[in-house]
Amino acid sequence: MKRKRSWLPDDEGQLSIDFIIGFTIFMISFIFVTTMVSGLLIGLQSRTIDYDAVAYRTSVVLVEDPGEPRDWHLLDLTIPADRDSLKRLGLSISRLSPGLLQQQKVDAFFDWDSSAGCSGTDSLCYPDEYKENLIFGDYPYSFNIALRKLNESTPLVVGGDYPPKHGYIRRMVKIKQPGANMTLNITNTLYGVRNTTEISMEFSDLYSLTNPLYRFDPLNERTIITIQNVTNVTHIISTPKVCVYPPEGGAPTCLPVPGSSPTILVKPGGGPPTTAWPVQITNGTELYIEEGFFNRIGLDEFSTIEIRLETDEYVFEAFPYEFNYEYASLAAPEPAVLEVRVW
Amino acid sequence: MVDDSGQLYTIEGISAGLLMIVTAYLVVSSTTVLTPQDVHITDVQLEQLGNDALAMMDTRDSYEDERSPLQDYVLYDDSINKSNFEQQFLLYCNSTPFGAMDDLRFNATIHFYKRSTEEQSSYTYYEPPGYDYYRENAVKVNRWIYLEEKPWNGHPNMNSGEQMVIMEVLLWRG
Amino acid sequence: MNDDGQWIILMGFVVSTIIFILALIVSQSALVGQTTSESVLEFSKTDIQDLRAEVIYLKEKELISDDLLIYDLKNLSMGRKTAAVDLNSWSDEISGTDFVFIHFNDGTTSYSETYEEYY
Repeated sequence: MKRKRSWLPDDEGQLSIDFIIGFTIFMISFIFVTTMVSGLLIGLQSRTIDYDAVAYRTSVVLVEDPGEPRDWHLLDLTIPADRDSLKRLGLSISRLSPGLLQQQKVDAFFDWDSSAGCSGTDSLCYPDEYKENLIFGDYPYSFNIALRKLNESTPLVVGGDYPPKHGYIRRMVKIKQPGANMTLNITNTLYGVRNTTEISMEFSDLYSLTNPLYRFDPLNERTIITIQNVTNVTHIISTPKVCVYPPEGGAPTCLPVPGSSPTILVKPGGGPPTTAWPVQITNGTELYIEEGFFNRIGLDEFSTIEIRLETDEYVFEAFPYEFNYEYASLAAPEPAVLEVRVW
Repeated sequence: MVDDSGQLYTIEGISAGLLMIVTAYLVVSSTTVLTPQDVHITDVQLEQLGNDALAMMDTRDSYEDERSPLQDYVLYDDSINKSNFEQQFLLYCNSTPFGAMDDLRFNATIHFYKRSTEEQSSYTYYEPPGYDYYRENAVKVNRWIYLEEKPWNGHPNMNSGEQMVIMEVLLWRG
Repeated sequence: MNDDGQWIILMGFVVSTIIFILALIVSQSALVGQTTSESVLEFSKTDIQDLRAEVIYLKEKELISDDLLIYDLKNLSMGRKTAAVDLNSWSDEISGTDFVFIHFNDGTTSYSETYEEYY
């Protein structure tokens, strides 16, 4: 029988079926093997190592980043536009002061709500907003973040119980306590020359301090003025007034403090506020300027204002009180320890 | 077309394919893929914590303060202040939010630069009692300190007057 | 016996040999990657933050133009941290600004900043 050599050119154009089958089987297995071999060079990834890295990164975002927007603790989360503008939850005062946290940001961070209607409240939604704005990443990490001031015994916690194997990091921080305090010493009626006084605050002077840890921030933090040295029976007879000096100079515009928050409260003896005039002044009576009050009346870092008080006795001296770094002070920042666990 | 004269092509193809698959399988299954164990993560945790503790001790309590607590401890380094330094540093390093205290130990050295001889030297600031060789997993953290004058118990070779020194703390888990 | 199809087997044998040799080579070139914590340790974040905080503190105390302190800083940094530090400070009267130029380079990380402060 005539043998066909299938690769020698002839004019029949046909391969034996046996050859085709053999060759096909060979090619299929060749392609299969090539695909298998190319997998030799792929490295393996394991999620277990990742947890510590995620915990470290989360701690850096919390401790060293002021967050986005920088004053996210002032946002009103009931407004959807404000809630959307929250991009990153960082607790630091500013990007130039790592490790120094702001108390209001800490309070806002640990104010969470896990119910379904949480986007209508002024709290952060647990766990979604934390995952989007702090943990980042596609993998659904679970987390537990705890912060405790060293002089307190109970920690602030966000997150659930953690398994034995988890990513972990611990950080030490100091938290700037908000609110500058000034003590206002009034005089005896023997030496007092008038029954009105002014407490003048020049914001450009207050905001000129470069170090953010010690800077007074009356626009965004509360301010407390405590009246001391009360020797006679004295009353504040009308509501305090705020007088704003126009930037070009000239006479100030005075307005009475509003009734609704945020406003200036008068707290006799340091207790609950009152609006019933006349109010008796005792040692420790506070003029409590609430957080956000100055923002509410439209002031900025260049404003100059006076707070005017009127009493029924002549207990004030001729010159006004000045609220500045010489007479007012901030409480010392408080050390705290933070732990981040991710799994 | 189809006869019984020995269809070798098919058999050849099958056997060639089989040979390649078996080789590839043997090779692939015998390759060990190493997942590198991340032994350095404990170093990262200790180093960050130690640096944080030193940085917080180096933060003044108020703007009017002349020096931070750390500067006070180094400048006025009698035994009381050294003990205060030890207590505060250990408190910062070992506190946890849930209350349990960790067990970290340290020793501290001050490095200074003698300007007249252009030599860099050091002296031990603090050594734990019953001190023995620190374990492998010790990390080194350091902090710049400005001194207005030579410390009370500083090294005799130190410059007098104002100078910069580095405090180096070796931190390990006990 | 027809040995026409031997080239298929030979090709199969050749491919197997090539795979075998490749595997030998790959097994010797172990993939050296850097773990996450190694790169974290390598980046001297705390050194830069510490240097920056110290320079701003010296500026606050108005000691930034004290050459002896800068001399100490540079030499100690090179001696203990093997990092080159460069500091320069100057003022611009027209804009009322003080400048401090900070440079840090420890071989793997380089950092430069011009710190400005209005007076």
